[in-house]
Amino acid sequence: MLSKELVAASTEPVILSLLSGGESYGYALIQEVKRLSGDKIEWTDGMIYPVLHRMENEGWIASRWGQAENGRKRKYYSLKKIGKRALKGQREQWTLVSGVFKQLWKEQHV
Amino acid sequence: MFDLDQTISEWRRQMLAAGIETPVPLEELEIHLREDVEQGMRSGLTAQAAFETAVQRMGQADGLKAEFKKAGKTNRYSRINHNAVYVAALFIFLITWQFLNLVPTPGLDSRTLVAYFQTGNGKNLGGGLMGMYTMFTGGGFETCSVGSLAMLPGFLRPWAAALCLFYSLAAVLALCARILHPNTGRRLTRLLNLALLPAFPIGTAIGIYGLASVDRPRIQQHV
Repeated sequence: MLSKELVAASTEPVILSLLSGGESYGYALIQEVKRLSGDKIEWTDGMIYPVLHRMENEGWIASRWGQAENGRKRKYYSLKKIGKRALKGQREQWTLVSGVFKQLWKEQHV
Repeated sequence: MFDLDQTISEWRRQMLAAGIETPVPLEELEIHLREDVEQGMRSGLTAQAAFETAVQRMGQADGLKAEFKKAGKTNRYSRINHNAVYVAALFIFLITWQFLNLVPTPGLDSRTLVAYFQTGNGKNLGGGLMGMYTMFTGGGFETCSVGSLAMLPGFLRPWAAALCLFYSLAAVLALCARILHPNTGRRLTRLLNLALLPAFPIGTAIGIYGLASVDRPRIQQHV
């Protein structure tokens, strides 16, 4: 299980990365994260919506109401230009951190 | 018998009572809940069990409310909004001021002042301190308008007008920069504010002092 702090820090970059593959909605985003992490990252489902709203207020993503295949209403989110830029910045930082760990742990274990 | 729709409307009532607002957040949460329940039922759970798991996964209403409140705050005080309001307020102020300049002060014969500015003493001073004063009141002083009798002392007026104009200019510039690049915009605003702070009092003080010292001997000649 991922620690609370790390979940909080990684939620936004994860959402940005998921949305960079095309528009999506809350439920699908959560399912995708569960699948990719092998059920190791478990967000409290409801908490994704305040995060999405905050990101929308920041101007990173846009939303629109649409129709699901079963005819039900659904709110879709998509990445905006500023969001792409934010993702680029986040990606550089996370790559840096993971690169440092990779080197550190390679030296210690080999 | 378990009634899903009834249970969901009961859940809605609880969320509303906890302060989750309609329509947007609550609508979105309900859609999510229904989708999760359906998924659970498809994988073999009873409606009741699926509902209970979905609600648990959704999280406590209090916690959600707090998070939505935080998200809303960024909206209300978002920097772009803030600057736009700032610029709008300045323009409204300037327009109101200009409007007040068109209203003559009642009970005063403005023709005397107009004559003063067109002939003799006033004409000589037209390019000097009086001219500058009337220019910054938008021509208001010449007609002895209500606007030129505002609370600000005359010598502060050019300073105030310049400050208003340049601050709104700075705000507009920063707004443009922020749209292009959020972080640069923020830094630019801070830099512009720092640069403007000493520039105006010093600049106008020098300007007014210069004008006043040119005018003084001429005034004394006529006295």
